Amino acid sequence: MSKPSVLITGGNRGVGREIFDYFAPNSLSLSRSNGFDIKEMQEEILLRSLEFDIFINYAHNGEFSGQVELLYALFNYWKNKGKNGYIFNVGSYSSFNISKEFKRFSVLKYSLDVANRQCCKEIENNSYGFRMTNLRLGKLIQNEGETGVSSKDIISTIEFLWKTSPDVSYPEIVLTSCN
Amino acid sequence: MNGSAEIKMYNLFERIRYLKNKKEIFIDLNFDSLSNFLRSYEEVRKENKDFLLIVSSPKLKDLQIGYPCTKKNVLFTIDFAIKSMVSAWENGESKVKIIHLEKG
Repeated sequence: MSKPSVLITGGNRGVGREIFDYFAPNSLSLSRSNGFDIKEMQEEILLRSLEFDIFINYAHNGEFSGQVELLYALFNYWKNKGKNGYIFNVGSYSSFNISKEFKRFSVLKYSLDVANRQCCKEIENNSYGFRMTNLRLGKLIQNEGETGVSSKDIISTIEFLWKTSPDVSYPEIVLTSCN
Repeated sequence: MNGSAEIKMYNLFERIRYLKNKKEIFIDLNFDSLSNFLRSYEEVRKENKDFLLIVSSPKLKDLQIGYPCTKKNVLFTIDFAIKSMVSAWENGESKVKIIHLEKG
């Protein structure tokens, strides 16, 4: 089975880049570094998304108007276009519980959790051609020797879910270190 | 409220210098004020002084998560944010005390 084609936002560095590289040459990264701000260039991103099997909503700009609003727009766009495919939202384990300190990052990821649940609920109650999963990631491996979630873990999860029956919904998957 | 100032979200940032001299702040949240709310909390917290932040927001109780809707999302997120702010105060991580009023 050949790899699906993938559009990822924010795939120009770090884990996003590793995901982009894995799915190359059938992948495209749209990020600020190549002129695609997720807030300013939403229409263009939506248009390009129709060319790909999978959309990975990865880029996080620290504002409600970033990942969450892009998800709402993408959901409605794919719904109206009758698009088949899979949307992966990259969320965070940090929004699971109320932590001892206030983190804007966790609040905005919580907002993404809510948006994902809303969209999945509508998908489950209708016959849309696409599915959606929120990948809630624990600490990512940033340097060699660290423990945590790697790009390989994320990629294998995406590939696994992509191959599952389209009749089954996986609204949320949590990936976190065992250590 | 004696010694407090009511913030109109649209002119929040124009008044931030004035507000930093106060001890109590009242914020009346609505559906389009999440970003401003987070930013105003962060601004006040940076001062590292004792503050009382009284936040009023639409009632969340019994609200279902529902279909894709920004307004409902903002309500749920505000609730999470406020719980997180309360936790930060309880754990001594922040000097901003929160009182949350839900409008019925």
